[in-house]
Amino acid sequence: MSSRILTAKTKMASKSWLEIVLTIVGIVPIVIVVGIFLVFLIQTYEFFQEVSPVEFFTSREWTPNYANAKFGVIVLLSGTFLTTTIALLFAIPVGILAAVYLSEYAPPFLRRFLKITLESLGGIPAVVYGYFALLVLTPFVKSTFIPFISSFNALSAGICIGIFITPVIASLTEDALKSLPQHLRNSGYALALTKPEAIFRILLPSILPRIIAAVSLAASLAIGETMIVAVAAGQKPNLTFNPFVPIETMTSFILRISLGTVEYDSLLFKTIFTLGFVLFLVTLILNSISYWLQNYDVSQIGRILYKTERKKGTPEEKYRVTLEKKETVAHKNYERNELKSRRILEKILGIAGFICASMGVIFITILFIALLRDGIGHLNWKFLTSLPSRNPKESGILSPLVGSLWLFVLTLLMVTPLGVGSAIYLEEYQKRDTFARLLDICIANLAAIPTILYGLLGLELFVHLGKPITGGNSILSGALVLTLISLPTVIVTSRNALRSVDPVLRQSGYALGMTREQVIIRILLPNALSGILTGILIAQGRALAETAALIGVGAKVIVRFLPPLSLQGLQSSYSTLPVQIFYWLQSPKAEVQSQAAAAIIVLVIILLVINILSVVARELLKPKTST
Amino acid sequence: MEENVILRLENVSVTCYKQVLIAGVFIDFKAHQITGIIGRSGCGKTTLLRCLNRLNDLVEGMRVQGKVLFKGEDIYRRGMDLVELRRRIGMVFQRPAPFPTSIYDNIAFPLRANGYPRAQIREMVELALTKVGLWDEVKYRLNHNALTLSGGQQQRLCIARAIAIQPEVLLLDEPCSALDPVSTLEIEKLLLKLKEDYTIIMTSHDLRQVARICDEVVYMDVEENARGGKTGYVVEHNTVEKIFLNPDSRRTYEYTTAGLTGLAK
Ligand SMILES: Nc1ncnc2c1ncn2[C@@H]1O[C@H](COP(=O)(O)OP(=O)(O)OP(=O)(O)O)[C@@H](O)[C@H]1O
Ligand SMILES: [Mg+2]
Repeated sequence: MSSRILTAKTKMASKSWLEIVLTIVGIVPIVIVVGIFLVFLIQTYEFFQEVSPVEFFTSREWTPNYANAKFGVIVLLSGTFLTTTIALLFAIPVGILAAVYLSEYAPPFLRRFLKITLESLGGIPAVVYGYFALLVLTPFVKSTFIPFISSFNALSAGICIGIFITPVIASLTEDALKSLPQHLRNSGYALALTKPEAIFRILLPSILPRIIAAVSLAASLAIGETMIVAVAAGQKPNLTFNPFVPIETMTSFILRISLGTVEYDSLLFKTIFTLGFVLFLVTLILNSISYWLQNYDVSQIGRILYKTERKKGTPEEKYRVTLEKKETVAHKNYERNELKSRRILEKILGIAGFICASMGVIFITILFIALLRDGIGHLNWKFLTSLPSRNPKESGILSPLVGSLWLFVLTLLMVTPLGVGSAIYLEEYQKRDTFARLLDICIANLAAIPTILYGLLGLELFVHLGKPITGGNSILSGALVLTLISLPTVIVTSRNALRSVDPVLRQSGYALGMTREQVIIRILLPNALSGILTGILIAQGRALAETAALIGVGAKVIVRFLPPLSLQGLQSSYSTLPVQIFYWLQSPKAEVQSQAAAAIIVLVIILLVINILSVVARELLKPKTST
Repeated sequence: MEENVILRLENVSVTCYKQVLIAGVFIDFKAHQITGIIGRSGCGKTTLLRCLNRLNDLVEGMRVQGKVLFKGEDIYRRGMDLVELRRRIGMVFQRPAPFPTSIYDNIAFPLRANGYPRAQIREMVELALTKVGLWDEVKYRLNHNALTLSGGQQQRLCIARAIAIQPEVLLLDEPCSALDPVSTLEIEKLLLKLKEDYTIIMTSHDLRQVARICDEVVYMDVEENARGGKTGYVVEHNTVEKIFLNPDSRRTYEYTTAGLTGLAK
C-alpha cells in the first residue's frame, strides 16, 4: 500500500517538472507580444514628447535627419499605400483566378505541379524579388512600355510584392473552395451552369469571408514588406501617387536608418520605433480581421445577409403575385435563347486561370534566366572561398556564408526546444479557455508581423539593453531575433503535427497505464516527428532568407574575417548571405550587381536543398502505423 | 430503338480508381414514365443517376464505361456539350443544397444563365414555386436568404429550380427523404403531373412511395467482387406491378416484402 502511494508521488513529482518547464515555454509567445507592445509604446511615447502629434499627422514633409526636421508621416504612408495598392491590384485577381483554376479546372497531375511552383513563390527571399524588380522588371518596363519610368519606382516594387503575396491569396482561396460541400458545386453544374457562372455566382460568394481574410493577410504582408521596396523603390520620401517615380515606405525608411548607426535614445531612434508602432498596429488590425474571418462559420453569412436584405424595399411590392389562378397551374413552355458567349467565357476563364496558376513557373523561369545571364560568370570556387572585397575581381562570399551557417545552427538550437515545447504545452496541457484563445491569437499575429519589427525589437532588447551578454551587434543578437521570427511557424506546424497523431494511439498509451509524460515522449513525439521536422525546416529556410530584421540588429557588410569557433564567436560581428546581396544590389556598378546575382544563385540553391530536405523528412519519417 | 425509349444504358459500369462501383448495367428508360430505382444503401443508385448527366466527371478518378444513349446520342462521346446535356437532363440531390443567395435568385439565376428572357423570369419563378407547393409559404420573403428555409422547404426549392429550366429528363435522388408526409404527398402529386411533360427517374428507400407513383422499377443489389470491393448491379427491371406482386427474382421478392411489411427474411 505504502509503496503504491510512493510511486504515485514520484509520478506526480516527475510530472510537475516537465509541466512547469513546458508552461514556462508555452507562454513565451505572450511574453513576446507584450514585449513588442511595451518597447514600441515606450519609444512612441517618448517620441511624442518631442514631436507634436499634429505635426506627425498633418505635415506634408518627412525630413527627420535634416537640421530643420519635419515629421509628416503622411509622406511615408503614401509610399506604403502606393506599393501595397499596386501589389493587391496584382495579387487579388491573379491569386483568385489561380485558385479557381487549380480547384475547378486543373487536371490532377497539373494541379500538383502548378500548386508546388506557385507556393514556392512565397519561399523566395525578398532580396531576390528586389533584384528582380530592380534589374529585370524595371529595365523591361522601361524599354517596352514606359520609357520615362525612373530606375527606382513604386511600380516594379509593387508588382514584385504582388507576386510575392499571390500564393497567400491563391492557397487560402483554394483551401476555402475545396472546403465547400461538394453538393453545392454539383447542384450548380446540374442546373446547366457553366463554370464561370457556378464559380462567380455560387462558389466565390459562398467563401467571401475567407477571401477577405486572405486579402487582409496579404495586405498585411505587403505593408510590412521591406527589402523589395528598399532595393527597388528608391528610398526617397515623396508624397505622390505616381507609380513611376522613387518613393519611400515606412519599412524602407526604418531599414535605411538601421543601416547607419543610430544613437540610442536619439530622436531618430525614437522615430523609427514610432513608425514601427504604426506598422505594428496596422498589421495587427489586418491580421486580426483575417484571423477572425478565417475561423468564421460560413453558415452564419446566411443570417447576416438575411438581416440586411430585409431592409431593402417591401417584398410585397417587389414581387407581387403575377399568376392569376394559382390552383390550376398549367404547364407552359417558355422560349429561351442560346447564349454563345457563355461557352466562350468558360474557355476564357480557363485560359486566364491557367496563366495565373502558372505564375510560379513563369516567374521562376524568368528569374533563372536572368540570374544565369547576370551571375553565372562570377560563380566559381574562388567566389565561394574568398572574403568580400571592394574589388569585384577578388571578392567572394565566404564570410557571409559562414555567418549564415552560424545563425542557422544557433537559431535551430534555440527555436527547436522553445517551439516544440510551446506546441506540446498548448496541445497537451493547456485547457481550452479564454487564455488559450488569447495565446492562439498572439501566435497567429506573431506569425504575420513584419520582420523588420522583430529587428527593431531586437535592436532595443538584445543589442541595446542586452549588450553585456550579447555583445551588441553580434551573431547572438541576430540568432535571437531569428528565433523570435521562426518561433510562431514552428509552434503552429508542431501543433498541427501533434494534433494529427491518431487519437487511438494516444488513448492506447493511457490505457497501458503510461503517464502523460511517457505518452508525450514515447508516442506523440515519435509519431509527430516528420511534421515537426518539416515545420522546423520551413522556418529555418525563412530564417536563412531573412534580411530586414538582421539589418535592423546591425548585421555588417564587407566582413573580412571569420568568427572564431568559440563562445567569443557568439559576440563577433557578422554578415549573412542575403545582407551581402542587399549591399551589393545597392551599387550602381554592373560588376557588383552581377556579384549579387551570383550570390543569389548560391542562396537559392541552399534554400532549395533545405526545401528538398523538408519534403524528404515528410515522406521518409511518416509514421507507418496506418496500413 | 423503340420509339418510347429516351435513355438507354448499354453495359454501363463505373469505376473509381481500381474500385468497380457498378457493373454490367443495361436499362431502357421510357419517356413520360416514372422509373424508380430501389436497392439497399450503397448499391450504387446515386452513382447510376450521376452517370446520366455526367456529374461523375467531376469526381476525381471516376470513369464510366459502356454507352449511355440519350435519344440515340451517346452522351459520353467526345465533344459532348455538358452544359446543354445538363440543361436537358436535370437533377435534384439527396441533400438539399440551396445557393446562399435569396430564394428568388436560387431559381432566377439559373434561368437567366440559361438564356431565358428577363421579362419571363418572374412568372417562371412563380410557376416553379407553385408547382412544388412552396409559393404560398415564401411569396412574401422571396428576397430572404434561401438558407433560412427549413430542410423540407429547401428540398422543394431545389426541385423547383430544377424543373424551372425545363429539362426533358428529371433525375431525383431520394427527393422526399427530408420531407414531412404532407409535403411528400405534394411532391408525389407533382411528379405524377410532371410525368406528362418530363421523364422522371428517381431513387427511393420508401417502397410504398415507389409503389404509389412509379411505372417501372429497377431493383439493384450489391455484392462482393473478386477483388474484395463491392460492386452494384441490376437484379431486375420490370413494371411496378410485377416487381411488387410477382417479381422474376427471389431476391427482389425478399427485398420488397421486407421493405413493405417490415419483416426481415
Ligand atoms: N466519390 C466517390 N468515390 C469513391 N467511391 C464512391 C464515391 N461515391 C460513391 N462511392 C461508392 O460507391 C458505392 C455506391 O454509392 P452510392 O452513393 O451510389 O450508393 P446509394 O445506392 O446511392 O446509397 P444510398 O441509398 O445510401 O444513397 C458506395 O460503396 C460508395 O462508397
Ligand atoms: Mg444515394
